[in-house]
Amino acid sequence: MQVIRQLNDVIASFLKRRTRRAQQNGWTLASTIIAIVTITIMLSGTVYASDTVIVVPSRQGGAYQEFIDAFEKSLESGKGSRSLAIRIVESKALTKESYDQLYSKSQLIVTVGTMAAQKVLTLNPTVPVINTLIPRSSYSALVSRNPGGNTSSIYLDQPLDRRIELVGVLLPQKKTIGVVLGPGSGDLQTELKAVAASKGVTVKVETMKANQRLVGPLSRALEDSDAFLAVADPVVSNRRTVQNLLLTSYRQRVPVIAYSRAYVKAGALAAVYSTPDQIGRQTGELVAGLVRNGDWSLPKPQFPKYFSVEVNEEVAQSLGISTPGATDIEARLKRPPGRSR
Amino acid sequence: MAVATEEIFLNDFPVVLSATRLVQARSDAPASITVIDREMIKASGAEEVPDLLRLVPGFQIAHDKQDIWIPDPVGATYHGLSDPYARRIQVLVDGRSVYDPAIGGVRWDQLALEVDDIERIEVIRGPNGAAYGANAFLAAVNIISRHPADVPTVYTKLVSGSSNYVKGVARYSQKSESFDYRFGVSARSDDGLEGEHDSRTMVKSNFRGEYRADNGDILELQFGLSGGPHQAGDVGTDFERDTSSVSNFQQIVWRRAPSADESYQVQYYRSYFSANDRFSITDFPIIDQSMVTERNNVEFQHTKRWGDAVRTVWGLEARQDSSKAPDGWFYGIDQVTNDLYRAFVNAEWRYSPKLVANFGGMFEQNGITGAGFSPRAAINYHLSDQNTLRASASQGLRTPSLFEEHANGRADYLGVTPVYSFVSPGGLEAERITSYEVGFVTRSRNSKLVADVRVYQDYISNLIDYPELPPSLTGPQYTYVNQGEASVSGVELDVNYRPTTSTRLVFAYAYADQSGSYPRYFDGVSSYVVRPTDPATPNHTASLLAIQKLSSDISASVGVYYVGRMGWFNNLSPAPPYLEGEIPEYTKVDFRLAKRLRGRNFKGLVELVGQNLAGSHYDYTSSVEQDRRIYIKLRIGAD
Repeated sequence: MQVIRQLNDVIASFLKRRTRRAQQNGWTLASTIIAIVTITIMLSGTVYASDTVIVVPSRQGGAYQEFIDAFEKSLESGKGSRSLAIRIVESKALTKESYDQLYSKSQLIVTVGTMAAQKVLTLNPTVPVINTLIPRSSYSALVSRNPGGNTSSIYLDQPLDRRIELVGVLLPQKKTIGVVLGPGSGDLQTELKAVAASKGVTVKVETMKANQRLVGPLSRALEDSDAFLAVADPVVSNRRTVQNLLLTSYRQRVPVIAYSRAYVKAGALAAVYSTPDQIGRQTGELVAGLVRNGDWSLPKPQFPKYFSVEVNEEVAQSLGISTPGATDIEARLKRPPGRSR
Repeated sequence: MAVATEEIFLNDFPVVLSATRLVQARSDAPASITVIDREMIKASGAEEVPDLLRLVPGFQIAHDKQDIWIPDPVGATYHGLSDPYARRIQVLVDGRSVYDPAIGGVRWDQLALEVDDIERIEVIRGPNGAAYGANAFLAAVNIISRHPADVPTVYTKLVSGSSNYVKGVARYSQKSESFDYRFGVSARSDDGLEGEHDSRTMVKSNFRGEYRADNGDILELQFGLSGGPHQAGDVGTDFERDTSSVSNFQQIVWRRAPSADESYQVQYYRSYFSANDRFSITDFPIIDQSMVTERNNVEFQHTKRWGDAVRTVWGLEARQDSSKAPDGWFYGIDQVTNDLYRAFVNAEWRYSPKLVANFGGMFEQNGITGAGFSPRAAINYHLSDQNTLRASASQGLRTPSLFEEHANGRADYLGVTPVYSFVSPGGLEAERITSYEVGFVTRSRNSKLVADVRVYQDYISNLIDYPELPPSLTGPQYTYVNQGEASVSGVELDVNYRPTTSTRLVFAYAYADQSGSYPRYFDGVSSYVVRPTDPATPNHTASLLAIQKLSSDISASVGVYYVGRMGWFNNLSPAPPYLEGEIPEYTKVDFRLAKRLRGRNFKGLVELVGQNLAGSHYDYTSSVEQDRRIYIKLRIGAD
């Protein structure tokens, strides 16, 4: 019974993938045949003859699909002639048993999203795992809770020097940046101060606890600051606090440098961020390299290589800040270090 | 502990700073705007709001004596052209007009607001009728009070100084993600001038609360109450008496932004003032100068952005002003009222990144003067990121106050024979101003220097003034007519410079050349004899506020304020050479030294403030001497 259920899982997820593909390309006889042949091969026990990468998204659709599409595309063009099978297994379909039975024989697992990473890492996988579309703090927390695995990550966060560099490009004469760190971001303090010092600015760091209100630390951080750097900590920035944060800083005419496009739309001055598509592309390239070399040892966790800049021109105008425009800023941030300032 | 997931990066936030909520940058604004911010307010050492306006190019302040009329001894005007009831500037506090319905001008003393409650004052120099309607004639003053989320939870201040000046201020605030409020009370008393019967006590309280709903709607509530007893009348005369006054207001504003590109605002406010001043003098068993005024105002406003280039604000407003003073001011009429309806639209058109045009106009239907229109057109050309050239043309109106239109200051001599101090024939028209301006705004690349220069030419017609009629049995009589005119041209400079992080200089200078004529007295036959208005505007006005941080805890500032020779309309002698009544040029020098106090659970500030240190002067009449004063202030609570 157990085996049949697992098999059902596999077929279901496989068909799901084929169906989606079919929606894009239309059913073809060939794909039907391939599906049948593949299922037949699976049933015949010669499962995973070629290299196999399992992709585990937290959920279906949306950002995860955007990631998968870009991942598949860049992997396809980068892996060369090596044959590779990609299996997509939604995280809720993944169980201890299905992992042991089927996926433990794959070469690599790529998780997409925090929930997927959590699910996979708690299974103590024996294969290497790349966790993507995950905040750096969550990845670190998961790894420390599930040590011993062969894991790496492509963070969703931008490196701090890139974020501070953005402040420098937008506000070249401004020297003091206010920051509020919460429980999930408190350990950034030392690094933040070091990065800021290397860029010639000072950060004014205030911290808050989960049960504390933002208003107090926020007003202290804004006092005498030229800019406010929002960190991706749900205690500091969430749907409830963002209104207060943006209104208060705007009243004090302190521009907010955010970490997402939506935050900029809401009223921050600008953000450097990566889209799921960009992360997917980078992950695809990384995996393609592993495939080409036939070496599955993982590199260290890395920050996004591809990123975008969003600027709220209305906010800039209102604050009397002249910006070089998102495209130009992006180009400046992409310049190799040393030439950028 | 909340674990951050990718959702924090990927999820949508509600739009908070919608394009419609953002205020226009100074370099895109259609007019010259002087901003007095918190740092300047604190550094000035001022305790009274109108004193802050000395920092604005071209402003003059008048301290009158509390003798005969309802005591309210301070006036603030721009380019002179005024008596101490300065009626040619509009003043708004958080969007609420505090322009007095009955007399005109502003009862600064009655504002339920302490300087500690002010975040910023924006002064728009030049007519601004297109946005603010009638009475934003020579200038408009926008006082923006501090948001409850931006003030410390507990704040107290004690001030003690010359003339037995004592003031206590206490404020409490609470903030949360959805509701913030602050509540403040203050009490002040002083002995006034040496040897005069003019001591005052004023108690004030105010409340401002803001509720933010989850859908982004914002509801704001404000209440204020102020009042107290004050002495009036010359010592030893039978005018010597005790009076009292009380004011209150209520304001409610609802704002909604259905999208990033659109917002609505509905506002209602009511303000009320009552003065109690009834006494008797020789031959006059009853002199009753008591007065009640009330304003009810409702306003709707819609702001919308049309693509990247165009932003519009339009709105509708209805107002009723009324006053009851059936004995002293509007004899025999139980209540005088004036209804006002307004429709306005202003558009900002960003034709290219370099060129911004602002067009606007306000149509008004006023119960006294009928229909009127105040248009404005301005073009701002950004020469570079730092420099902007501006040209604008505008027209504005000043509508008569209830008193100017309905004045009937009758008193019965010996309780029987009527004599009149002021009698208006009614049927007055609105004063008109046409103004042309060329301005230049510059901001250094490092933002250390921000400067605004403007050259302007104003033409004013239909100026209302009160010429003297043949005297009655007991004294002078005046009437109101529309027969004055004046033209003013000049240059103004407004500079903010921060050479280092611990030094700031704020400099203002105004040169004004005014000429015109206004009726001074009845020729005894059929017309009024006119006299030049020229002395009513000082040629030069200047101010410098220098702020220096001496250490992390100690800062010092000096304010120097210069006003050239001028005269207030009502004081100027009607006969050649008209110089009598002029006040000589004066320089007011103020100083402040402040030291922060830090304890374990305690933050505070102790301040020493000296005013008029260069010697005494007078700014309205020689009988109200502004002499040297010293104040000590202690603040507890971070500010």
